[in-house]
Amino acid sequence: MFPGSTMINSLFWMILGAMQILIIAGGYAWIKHLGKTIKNWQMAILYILFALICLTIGAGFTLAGEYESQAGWYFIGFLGLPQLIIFVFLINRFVFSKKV
Amino acid sequence: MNTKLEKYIGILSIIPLIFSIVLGFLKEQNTSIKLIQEFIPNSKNILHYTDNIYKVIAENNLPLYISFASHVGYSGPMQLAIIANQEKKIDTVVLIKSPDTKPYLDKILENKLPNHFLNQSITNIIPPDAVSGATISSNAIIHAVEKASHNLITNNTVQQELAIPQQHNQNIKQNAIFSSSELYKLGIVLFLFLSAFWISTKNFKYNKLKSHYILAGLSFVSVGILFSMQFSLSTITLLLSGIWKNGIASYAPLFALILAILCVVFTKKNLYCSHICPFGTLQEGISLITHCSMPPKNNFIKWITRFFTLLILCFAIYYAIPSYATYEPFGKTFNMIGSFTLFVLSIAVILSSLIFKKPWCHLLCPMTPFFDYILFWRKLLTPSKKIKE
Repeated sequence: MFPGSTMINSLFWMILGAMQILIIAGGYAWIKHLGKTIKNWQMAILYILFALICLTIGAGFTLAGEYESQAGWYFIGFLGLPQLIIFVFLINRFVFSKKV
Repeated sequence: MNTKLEKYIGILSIIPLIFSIVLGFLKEQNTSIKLIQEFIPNSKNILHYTDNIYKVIAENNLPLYISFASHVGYSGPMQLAIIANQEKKIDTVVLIKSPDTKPYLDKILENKLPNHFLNQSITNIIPPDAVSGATISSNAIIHAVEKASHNLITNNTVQQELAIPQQHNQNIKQNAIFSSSELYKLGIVLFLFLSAFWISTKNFKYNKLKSHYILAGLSFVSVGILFSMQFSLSTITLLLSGIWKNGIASYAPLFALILAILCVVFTKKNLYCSHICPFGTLQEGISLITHCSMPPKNNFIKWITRFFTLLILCFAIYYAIPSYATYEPFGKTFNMIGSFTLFVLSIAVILSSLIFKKPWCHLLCPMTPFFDYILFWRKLLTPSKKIKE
């Protein structure tokens, strides 16, 4: 990630890992703020989907970095769009369709 | 907007359409000699042997023989010309006109398909393989070149001048009209329209919503994914410019368009857009996830769409190239046919379907102003009688 450095790479990945905990905790806080509830396994599925979307975007831009920008955009479009639709569907199903 | 002003705009809109049809037809006449002068500059003594065969004397005083031919491509006939020299070899292949979409042609030219014919003998053409991903357009070029060389070598005058032996029993592929798969597609389109009409009648006994979803699902799979039979502005261009008479790859979208127009004229119901359109079905399905409502009505968007539909239609009809009118994302969504811009547009529309119900249909689809226009003329020409109690 950071060629030529010793510590920055490790620090970067530690911060990124810590951010994931914040994202999940933030998700729980947001749902609580809306007056809804969510089960742990449902949150796990949503998080996996979120991670997949991030990976898809990352992979698409990696392709763009390898001078294959059109392939990158097609990658994000073909894979990212169904993942995003499934993500919205699951949020609707797990969170908003329930009454507290 | 003022109803009277709308009425006058509607009536006057037919004028640019008629102009583009007439001017487009006139433009097609007598172009062969102009084309020869374009691709063989400083040519002398253009001799007209037949409607499709000419002889010219080039700058170096050597004779060149030009043969024009066409073969049905994806959206209409692909027209080209071959220029043969006195050694009976093909000197140049000139692609004159192609109604097929640009990405296909770009692929063919990238693979240098026309170059394969250069320096080949006109008495023995060895066809190359079609370009993968642009098969129909490639085959149109290959068959057109074979036709052009066949026309040249079977012409008596050319045979004598170039000392070509008499040709017998040449199997030249002719434009096919209807194959069995084509009849099957037409049958599916007819079935879908009849089902849509039945569902929309008052006497339909079953659950209308469930039946609509089943029909829409069937249409999505058959019309959208399997056979790619959805019509668009380019199909309307095909119909109005008369290109369909010379043959096209598939008549199913044209048949669907005609049935849709007949439904609007006789029943005042737009059955295609409400029950059959696969892109509409896709948007409707995605909007069911969030149970969103339709986008708010906007006069500005309505008139901009109408204006652009008329402008693009006139442009495409004048040049008689249906692919000029392709700006809808239908082809790209279901079959990856179209440019990268259409891919971005289809992603944007599909994502917007999570926020608004059928955003493309209600805001940007050119079919909406087209069918509105047909309804406008129907209302104008057959005013309804008011029943007094």
